[in-house]
Amino acid sequence: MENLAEFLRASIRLTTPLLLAALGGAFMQVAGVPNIGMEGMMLIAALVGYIVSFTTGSWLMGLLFGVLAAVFVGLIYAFFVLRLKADIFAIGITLNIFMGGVAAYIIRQYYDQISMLHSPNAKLLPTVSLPFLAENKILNVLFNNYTILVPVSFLLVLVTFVVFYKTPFGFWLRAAGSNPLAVSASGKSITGIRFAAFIISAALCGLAGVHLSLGYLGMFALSLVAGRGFVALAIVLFGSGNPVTVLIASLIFGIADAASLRIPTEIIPPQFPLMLPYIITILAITLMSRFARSFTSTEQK
Amino acid sequence: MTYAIETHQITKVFGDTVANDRIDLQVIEGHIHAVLGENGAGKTTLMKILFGEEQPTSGKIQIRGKTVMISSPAEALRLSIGFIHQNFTLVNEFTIGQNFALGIEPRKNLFFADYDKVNQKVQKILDLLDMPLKLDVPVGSFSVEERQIVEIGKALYRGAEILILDEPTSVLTPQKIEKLLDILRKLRDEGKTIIMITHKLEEAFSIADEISVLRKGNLVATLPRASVTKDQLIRLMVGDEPLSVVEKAPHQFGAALLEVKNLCVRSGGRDLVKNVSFEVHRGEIFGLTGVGGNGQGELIEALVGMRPATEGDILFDGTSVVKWDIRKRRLNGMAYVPENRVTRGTAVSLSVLDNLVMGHHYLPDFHQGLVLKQKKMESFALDIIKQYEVVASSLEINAGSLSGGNLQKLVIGREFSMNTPFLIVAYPSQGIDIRTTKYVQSELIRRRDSGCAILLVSGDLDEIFSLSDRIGVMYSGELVAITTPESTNRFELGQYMVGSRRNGQ
Repeated sequence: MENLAEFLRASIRLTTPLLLAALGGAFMQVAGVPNIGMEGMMLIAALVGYIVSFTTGSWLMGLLFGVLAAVFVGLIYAFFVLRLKADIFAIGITLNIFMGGVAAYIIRQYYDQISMLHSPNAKLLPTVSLPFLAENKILNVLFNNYTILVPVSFLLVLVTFVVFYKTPFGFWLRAAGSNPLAVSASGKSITGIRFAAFIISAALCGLAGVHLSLGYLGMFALSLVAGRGFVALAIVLFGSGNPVTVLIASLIFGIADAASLRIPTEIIPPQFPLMLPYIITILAITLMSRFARSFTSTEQK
Repeated sequence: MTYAIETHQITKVFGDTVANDRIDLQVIEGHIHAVLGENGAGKTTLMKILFGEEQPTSGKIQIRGKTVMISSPAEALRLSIGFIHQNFTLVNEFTIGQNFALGIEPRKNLFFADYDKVNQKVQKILDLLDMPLKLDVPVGSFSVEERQIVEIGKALYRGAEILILDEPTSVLTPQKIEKLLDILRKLRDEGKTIIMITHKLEEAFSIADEISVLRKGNLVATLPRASVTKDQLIRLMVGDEPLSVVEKAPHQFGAALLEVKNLCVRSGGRDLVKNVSFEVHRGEIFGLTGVGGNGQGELIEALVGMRPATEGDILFDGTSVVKWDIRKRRLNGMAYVPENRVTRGTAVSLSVLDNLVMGHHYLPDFHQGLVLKQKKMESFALDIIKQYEVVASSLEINAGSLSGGNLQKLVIGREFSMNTPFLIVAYPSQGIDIRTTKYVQSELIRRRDSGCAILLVSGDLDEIFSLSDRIGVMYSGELVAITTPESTNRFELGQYMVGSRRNGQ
């Protein structure tokens, strides 16, 4: 029983970065502009967040600047796609590669490190402990003492749901994705709506990145995102941007992630379980080819 | 009598074509005003100017006597002008209310959209339109005609007093058209002003209070319906200058090369081509005309293999080709100059060379195994460029950087140099200059004289008249007449084109 609770706890911890990024992805997805650059946004947020945290000694500053760094990448992305009308897939992929290079350059040039950054001065994200949960052993393992962004990520599912389906802004976002003509005929700016989607999406990816370095790992590594941006993209496509389906898909991936760390290596070589999340991702991404076509066709309209 | 809309000398120039030439349109408030004209007469451009989607090159617009600048659709909406597009502006996943209120949602508690409020108003509008539609289902689940009416409702919800409808009946079946026209009459009785663009004479005649006719960018007349006859309107639409028959050698018909037998094309529940039969003989130019959208496009697509024939047969040199794919038809002697040279005739992002060799590249001359013969391709492309006077600075530049006329010459050069016994040439002179037009026309006659069978599709009666040996007219998917240039005239063709006359009547 306790083992199961431990396993679920690991799953939830691994779900959070995926969930945060995928919610971000959902904002752009429903507006008809898929976010391909989540990997790069997460990486740069993780790095900047970590550096600011150990430089200033404040996790809050780390969080803030990490998110701002991701938003900055989002601005570049939006500029190329919305203003210069560049291909959203090409720019997204390019930004991912570019941010990988930027991160490697920064840790080598300024911190003389090859692939990791670790400082005892770094202030990590605080954990939330609720005394009443601590009384029961199982509940304590399952629900208590998470890093702050874990409960926040689940709360954001609700917020996203309300924004998408209950607020005017949510309707504009979804209209921009479904029929851009409807938006322009109503006198709203399609570019303006999509721009907002880019910024919100980048900010959420920023939270995901900061969570990885200042929450989950407690350090920065060039390989810390490890394809999670693409896993998140797969999750978004899986749930076609619906926050509830995004939550379910994120949990599935989180459980797969946790399972891959726990399958006994005597039975199956350890490389195989590690592949599991990526195999699921490949299957999901396969759906994207279909989606990519429908994206181009709405653009031509 | 007040005017809802008055335009003064509105002119719109695109590049070197004049889409609207000093147009003075007056629309009486509370009336239905039909704007009639063939495709390319400038109707849609004029309406886009009124809705702020295009800016006039010169001229001014008055709405209810006040001079206005309509700089954007949002501004047009503010002036209570609503535009019902041919493409729906509805979000299929949203309910009627969510669509109507998009961008102007009333709020409750600061953040949330209040659709209860919206739906009360929506219900009133649906009652007015006599459309009992469900308010809680996505509009995507409605039929096309229901969505069309929802689209009208949306304009009303947004306060439109002047409604502009662009070919509203083109997606509807005949029974549904009547229903739509009834709704429009009802709205007029409510005091709305309605402008309806159409190329269907019958509709204009049955609904309008006034009818304006546009021809080649000019407003030729605005007449009250009560004092005009259909024949008068036809004359206005097609013009009454005498037609010139170009001097050409008397035709020597050979055997029939293409035989179309009872061909039908159906799509989305509509009959686009109905029971069409004709043949094209060797050494003959068969001119096919009609107002655009009456099935000519679908007919050609069925002939070249881009669209399946629902029923009937196509015989080419005596063999049925309906089961053949496009390439097989081409290899067996069909060449095709499509109507749209940019989307269909060429791949504009590829080089001039690629575009010229396209379709020839699989012939044995141009490849050795899997490898294309570059030298051979280049010399072939240069030959076409020279022979058809395509002005291109090099073979490597994108085809998209060529001017319209040169692109057209490129397509014609490529297709003609297939040296096929049969050519389908659609709207060859659309958007190109007179010199190129003359060249293309003389080339067509040269081909005909050398025994080629040519199917020429064009909406330009002068072109049809001067080139064709026989003329076929399509109306509403049917081939309503086959005649010769010697035995008909512009007016009679006009009657066929608008469906007020058929062969033998």
